[in-house]
Amino acid sequence: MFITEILNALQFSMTLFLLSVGLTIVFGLMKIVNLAHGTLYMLGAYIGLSIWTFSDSFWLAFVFAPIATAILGALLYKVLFKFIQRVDPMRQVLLTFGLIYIGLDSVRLIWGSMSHSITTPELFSNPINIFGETYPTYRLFVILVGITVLLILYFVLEKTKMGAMVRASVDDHETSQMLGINTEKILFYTFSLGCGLAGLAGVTVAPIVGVEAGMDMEVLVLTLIVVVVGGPGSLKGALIGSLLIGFVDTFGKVFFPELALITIYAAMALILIFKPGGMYSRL
Amino acid sequence: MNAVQYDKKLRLQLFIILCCSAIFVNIFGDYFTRFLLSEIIILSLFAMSLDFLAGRGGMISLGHAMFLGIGAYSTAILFINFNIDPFLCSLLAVVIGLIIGYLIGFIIVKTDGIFFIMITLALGEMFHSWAYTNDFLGGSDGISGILRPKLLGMDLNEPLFFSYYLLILLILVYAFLAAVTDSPLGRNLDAIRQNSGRVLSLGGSVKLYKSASFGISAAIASLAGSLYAQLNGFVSPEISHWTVSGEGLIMIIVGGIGSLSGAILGAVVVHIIQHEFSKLVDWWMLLMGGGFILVVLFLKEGLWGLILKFKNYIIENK
Repeated sequence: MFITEILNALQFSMTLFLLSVGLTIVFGLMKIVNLAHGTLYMLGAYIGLSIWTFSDSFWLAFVFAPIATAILGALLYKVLFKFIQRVDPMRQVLLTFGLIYIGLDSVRLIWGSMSHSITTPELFSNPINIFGETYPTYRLFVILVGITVLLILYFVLEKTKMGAMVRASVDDHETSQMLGINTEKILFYTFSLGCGLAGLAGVTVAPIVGVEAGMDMEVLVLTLIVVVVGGPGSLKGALIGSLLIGFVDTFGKVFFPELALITIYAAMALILIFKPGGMYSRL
Repeated sequence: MNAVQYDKKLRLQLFIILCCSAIFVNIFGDYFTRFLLSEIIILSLFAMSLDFLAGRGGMISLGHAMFLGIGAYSTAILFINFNIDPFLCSLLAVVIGLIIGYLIGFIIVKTDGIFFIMITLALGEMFHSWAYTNDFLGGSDGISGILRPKLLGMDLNEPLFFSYYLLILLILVYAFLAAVTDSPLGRNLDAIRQNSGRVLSLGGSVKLYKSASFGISAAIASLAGSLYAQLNGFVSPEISHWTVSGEGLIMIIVGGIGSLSGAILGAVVVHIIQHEFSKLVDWWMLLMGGGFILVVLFLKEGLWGLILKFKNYIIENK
């Protein structure tokens, strides 16, 4: 029972990590938060659903749904964000809020308002035995996806020149620009990558939580809490925040089912009281 | 987010025009238009509370429907479980909203801008799912059987009287918020919105002013929630859904942030469009989102800005 819960918490944390990492780094770069991030997660799941329905292969969906959301993100950036870059940040945030409505209705128009489900791929359809407890292998796969992304991002951000440029732009936008870093380009790629990761999260959890209109807000709220708690702009913050919220949520539901959401709120309030900028803010 | 250009006279003029048309609609309308009018007045109260918070306090809340929910649920519980007079229920709901708003404000006003948006959104969604799962609050069914008050021998269950009752409350709240806006507290809030660091260094208690304005705004939203529960006779968790907060925000942005009576105009326009469009097509959310984006991009001061331009145009050509 206990191991199952730990693994569930870990799986949930990894999903949150996939969602929050893009949001947090984009926030670090352009000081705006994309409230339509949850919408991209939902779109990832829906596009995955369509690919899976047509091709009958989960793996095609797994590969192409994130690419599709990354392209959508790139378009969004080129059409909207570039257009309004000189506008004050609050207006940009409100703009992304309008996108939530558009996303929600588009999904309903295209895929209908019924909820759908994706079958677990055959490779992971059998549960596994861990210390005498059966556990669905697919959830282990989700954890693996999260850890892989974490390691790749860590390597790119900390060990490559490109990553150093991203970190420099987060820390000091103007100075980086002056030193010849194309912050514009970095922002564009980070934004698209973040959207792609949101889509990846959507399609990977689709076999577990199903696909339905409205899944965007549930996740957006938790992702925002992770960003606030972890402190925007840092990979470490996103990871620690995701783990914290993932574990508090899962174990809160086990120990105090009545207060399920209150526990996260309490955790967030405590952290904000003692560390208003989040735990690992780079700003 | 900048507030609109300040014009006390125009604010009052617009408010009087809106009130007169409300009375007109109430006299000549039928049951349905009166119900629609009541809804619009309640939403106007909600929009004004958001407008005060965003326009004066500079805080954009995306979870303000939580206070609608707090007002509505406390009215329901006080009336059903404690048998308190409906009018007193509304008053108590205001007090409860004020206290909870002040306490929450005290914790969250130290954050600003985007952080504030994120936290209010999270809080609002949490309240919604809490109400949704809580058995005492009736879960997803909510609570029904809430009655309207009887005042001065008039039974407010009669739609004509209830609309007038709401209109009187609207005038009172407007007068109160206009007075606060022009009071030292309002001036301090304007200063904080423009440069909070400078106010702090001049010895102003930024946190106190901000949490006070959050409390006031929450109290008015709570009143709106209480009235909404009495209008419909029941309350469900839907009242605190994020879309409601979002609609409130759309209303004040369409109306023009910080204009107070512009917020009422925004509530009228948005609610009527929503009401009519949802009858015609089932993708009105798409229209609303798109329209909202266009307003954010191109109509920086909302309808208020247009009216102001129109007024200046007339003055120049006289």
